[in-house]
Amino acid sequence: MKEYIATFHTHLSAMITGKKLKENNIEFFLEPVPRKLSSSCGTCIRFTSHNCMEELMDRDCEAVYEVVHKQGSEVDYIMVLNIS
Amino acid sequence: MDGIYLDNAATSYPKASGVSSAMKYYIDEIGASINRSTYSSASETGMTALSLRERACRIFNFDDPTHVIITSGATIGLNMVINAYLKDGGHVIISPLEHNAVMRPLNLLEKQHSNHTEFKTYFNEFPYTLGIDGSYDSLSDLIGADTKAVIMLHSSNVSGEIFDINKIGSICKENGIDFILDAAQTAGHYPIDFFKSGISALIVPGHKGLMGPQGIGLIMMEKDFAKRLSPFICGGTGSASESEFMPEFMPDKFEAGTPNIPGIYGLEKALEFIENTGVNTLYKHTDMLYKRFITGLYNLKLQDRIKILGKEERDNSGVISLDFTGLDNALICRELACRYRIFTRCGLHCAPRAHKTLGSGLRGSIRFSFGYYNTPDEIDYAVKAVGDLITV
Repeated sequence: MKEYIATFHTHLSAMITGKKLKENNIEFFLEPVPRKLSSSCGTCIRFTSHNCMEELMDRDCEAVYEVVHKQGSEVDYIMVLNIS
Repeated sequence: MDGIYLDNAATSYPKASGVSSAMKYYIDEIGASINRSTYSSASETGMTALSLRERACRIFNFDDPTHVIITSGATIGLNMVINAYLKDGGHVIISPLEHNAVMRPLNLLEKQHSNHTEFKTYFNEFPYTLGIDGSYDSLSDLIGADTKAVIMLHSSNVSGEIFDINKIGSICKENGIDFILDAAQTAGHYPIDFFKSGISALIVPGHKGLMGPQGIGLIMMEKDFAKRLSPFICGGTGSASESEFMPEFMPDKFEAGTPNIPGIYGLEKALEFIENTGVNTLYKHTDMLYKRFITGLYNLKLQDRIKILGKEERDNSGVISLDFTGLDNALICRELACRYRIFTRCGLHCAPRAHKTLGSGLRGSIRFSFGYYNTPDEIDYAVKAVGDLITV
């Protein structure tokens, strides 16, 4: 299982994606976009899954990043899906 | 309300079950803004707005919640569409029964563009008899090289008569022009199929047939139409904040500023009621009341003293206007309210063009408009009151 963050062009797109994840029993969290990532809207979705769930991402999703926790509190974000 | 409310064309009353509770719940228990933050209550407002858009899609057979735009009402929705759509002028066709929510923006544009050297805005109305004999040729005949759209109401707020939008939309499609529909008097209680009717933009209020609160409405826009249309109201969207220009993404392109969030909660609950009850059930009820009222009027045998406005051959949205020969309609309206506690609306109903077409001119009429919560007994009582008043 890996941790992902999806970013969006609109808040509504984040809501639509969150709803699809929920319908597929994937737990998610709506969060502010980490400042390391540029994003059109300030809302991202954090979820844990076997893959980046491309098929569940809304049309106005910008990108999906894999979250890599490093030593301490340092975090890297690796883009795994670039939709925009 | 202590009386019989027959003014549902102005605003529906009572509202759908649960509307006021939902609005109270938002104000007292949630309170967060929308499209700005991610904490739990802010997310809930976003999910409620999504649910509202999805319900609208199901009710109007529309396919994309991102193209359901939340507005503060049908008038602002029509202004958003008409002003942006005709910013560079053009010719449009209207109905002969238009409300001022369409006529005033059109006339303002015509005036503003009158001295422009490169373009102008102008309009023609189609004949009132359109479709009555089965022919729609007179509409096709009005379409010229610079005609951009038909912009019209679905049902008259004066006479209640409903135009056949499947036929009109089909003619628009055949001629490659847009079809912009004001469904203020039909949304919620008369079936509307967005794609079957070939609609480009559908504008609806939340507080009439949809039985929600005032101060909220929706626009449903076909995707290509939304791409072509410029924003009319600009401001913060909570997205693309690094840019000082409106984003192109939907619905943010047309949703600047903080919306009426209590209204979103109220309308979402109202649409739940509409879905559970069924638009056809709602229509059958108001149609039954309309026919009962009409039959009652004819049974009074006072046709020489009561003129019913409009064409009864057409479907009706539950609205009847009466013009009392030789009497002051306003005084009859007052007597209905004071003596019988029957609440109606007299005057011109913000639709002078309709009254001119229907022959009631500046006298106007008394409008009786029915809703889902009206009963046959109330209709019978209203008919009797009308008869009593004019035979005294």
